[in-house]
Amino acid sequence: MTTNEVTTPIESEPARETNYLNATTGIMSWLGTLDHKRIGVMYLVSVLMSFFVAGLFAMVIRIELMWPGETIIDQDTYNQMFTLHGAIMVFLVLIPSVPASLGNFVLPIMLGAKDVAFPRLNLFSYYLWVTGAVMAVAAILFGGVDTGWTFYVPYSTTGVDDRGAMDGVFFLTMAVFVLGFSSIFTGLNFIVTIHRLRPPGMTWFKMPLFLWAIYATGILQVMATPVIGITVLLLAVERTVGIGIFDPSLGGDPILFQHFFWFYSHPAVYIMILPPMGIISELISVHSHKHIFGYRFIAFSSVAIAIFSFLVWGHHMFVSSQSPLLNVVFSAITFSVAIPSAVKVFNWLATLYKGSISLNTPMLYALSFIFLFTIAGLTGLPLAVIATDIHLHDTYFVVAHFHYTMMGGALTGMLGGIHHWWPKITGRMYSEVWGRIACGLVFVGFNVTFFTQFVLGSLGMPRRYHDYSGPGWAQETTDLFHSLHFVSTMGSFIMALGFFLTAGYLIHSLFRGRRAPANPWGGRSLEWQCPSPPPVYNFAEPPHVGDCYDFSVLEWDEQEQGYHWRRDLAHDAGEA
Amino acid sequence: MTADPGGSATKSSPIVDPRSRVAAGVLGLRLFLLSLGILFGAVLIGYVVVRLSPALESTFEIPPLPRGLWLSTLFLLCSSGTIHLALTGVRRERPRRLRVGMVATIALGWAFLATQTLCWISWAGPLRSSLAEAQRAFLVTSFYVLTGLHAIHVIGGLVPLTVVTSRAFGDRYTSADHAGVRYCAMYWHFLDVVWLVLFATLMVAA
Repeated sequence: MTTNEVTTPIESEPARETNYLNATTGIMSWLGTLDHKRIGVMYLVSVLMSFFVAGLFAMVIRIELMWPGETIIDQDTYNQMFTLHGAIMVFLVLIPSVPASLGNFVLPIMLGAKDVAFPRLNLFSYYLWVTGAVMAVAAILFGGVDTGWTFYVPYSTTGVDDRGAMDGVFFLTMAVFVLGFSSIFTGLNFIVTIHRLRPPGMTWFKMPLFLWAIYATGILQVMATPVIGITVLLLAVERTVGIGIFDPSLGGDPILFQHFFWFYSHPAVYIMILPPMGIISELISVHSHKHIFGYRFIAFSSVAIAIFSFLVWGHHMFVSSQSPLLNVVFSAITFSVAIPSAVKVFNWLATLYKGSISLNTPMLYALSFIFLFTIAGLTGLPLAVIATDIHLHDTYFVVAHFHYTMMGGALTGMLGGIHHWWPKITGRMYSEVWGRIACGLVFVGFNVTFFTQFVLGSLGMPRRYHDYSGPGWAQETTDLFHSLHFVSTMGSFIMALGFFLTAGYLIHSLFRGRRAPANPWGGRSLEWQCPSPPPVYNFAEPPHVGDCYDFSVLEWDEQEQGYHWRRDLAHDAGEA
Repeated sequence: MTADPGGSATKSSPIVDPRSRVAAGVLGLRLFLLSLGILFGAVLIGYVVVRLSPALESTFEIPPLPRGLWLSTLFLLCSSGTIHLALTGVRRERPRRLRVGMVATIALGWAFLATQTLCWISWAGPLRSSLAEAQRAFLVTSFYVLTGLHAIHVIGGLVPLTVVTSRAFGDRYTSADHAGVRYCAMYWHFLDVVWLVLFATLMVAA
């Protein structure tokens, strides 16, 4: 594992004081650790490895679609590729991405605490994640899955007889079940930690906004995830015992499956996007060195999004034959989600206004988040209108929309967070120049890939199609789609280049990066008060709790290449 | 291990004060029970939706629910009482009452599972004859799925219950420090409530 490399001491440089990375050594000191920082790092490495695998599947899909007809894979393999891409990205990458990796690392330190409330449960959650990942691999080995990541019935219930009940679908749905409990325990742990471990002086409205986002996410994890758990469990029972719950041929109700599935999977979208939104609130404020604008509005908008998210699942099912009245109600409530989302965007913009903006890599990611997430939100509205949704349903417009949310939003936010906290996590600075170049490549590549898909979708290209030529396709349509798909795939190569570049300079920084100061960006939240990387116990003395967005007390130290407490104020702060 | 100026001597928890540690545990368990409650709620809603679907309108001759379920309900209700007895016992520093309460709860838990097993066996006949007919199969097998799901949680509850009981015999609990007993009692009452709702739903549906 790459985590081992982190522990390797560098001979050429003077020995540093012990920190969480070098306090104990050996693979077992990592695998059995109860330290939230190490668990966070293990999650980060695991999640990024899954991202790499699912990203490869995405590239296979894109290359297949570059030319009409069969290019590199046949249609059955293609079905498996998009299913695995979706399922791995959603359940193994995006759901645990920010909370379990960065959240685990940062949350207790932001609270000035030694660890999360239940360290053993935290490690247990990680191993549940690992179990889920192993089962996902088993699913690939046992014949793969071609149902789409949504496991819609009857795709997921037919074919049992000729393939046996214990096939890829069974293992992948059980993986989702196990991963669900990993997510529940993580959310539960964070909620209790925020309730019980806030330091004296840090009231709810003095918490960093990242913690509000994690808290709202925790509520969703605890309350929505059991529904997907029981749904996939019933699906497995249906497949093994033959009881008709969802399968219409056995007297079951397939629409019930869709209701259950989206009752979780819509809130799950916010499990993925709320924590990155929290990161953006931190990044925008810290890197423009200006107090966050509208703190309470941003905090409450996270909670509002969490509540709304339970009431809009039906907008995934406008064409599923659910009642027209329900459609209208779900459509109306869906529009209201735009309000708290826009509240956040406007407050971020107001924070930037007249700020002293440092355009370093985390800030570039934050700005690209705002741009991409705005497109994501605005293209969600035509999908919430029933009339236009019927036209756009199951086209590339939907694919482009949720990639703008999940990748342009969640993943961009996570990348911003990784760069923001990288000095704290590893104690090393990455190359700022390469960071900006890679961010630019990802931004350009992303837009070329997915903006093209908005055009493709509105022209009528259906999603999940292996081919767009042959009988039934007009030649000019095929030619048009071919050129657009070609451009889209070119964009994905640019994006891939950006990701490889990012991996390259980040790994390089572990060995050759400049030593990071305690506070390289000028952040005020508590994690910037402990050394980089933090010691095992995080804080030798209780840190100084104040307004975590008041940057007037910090000043730049040229020699240290970081910020510290203003000397004229040092006497009443204690910590610098 | 490294020096720990945080100074928490406790096993792994970062919370030094035992009282807040228990408060954190209680909050955590409540959230977990909320989560499990939603899980059971969802499966019951699913059951009711399929049960009420037009496809199942035509009435089948479903065998009446096994009478033994009333007996198992009685066992589970009593066990909720005995674990409450154990909890008040430890709070009032009466170790004998704690031990009796815990042992009785475990015994009643096993009695519940035994009765459930007998009920399942008594329904095996209808199960076999119904499997041929898809819609009728749902009515019979769903009974096994619902009660089985609950039984798994009872088995899951008996494990910590046994651990806590053996600790109770080792005089590990005092009126000030008895988090284990409290957690067990919370979980056990939860199982009781879930069973009552589940049983009522089955009765109405049948």
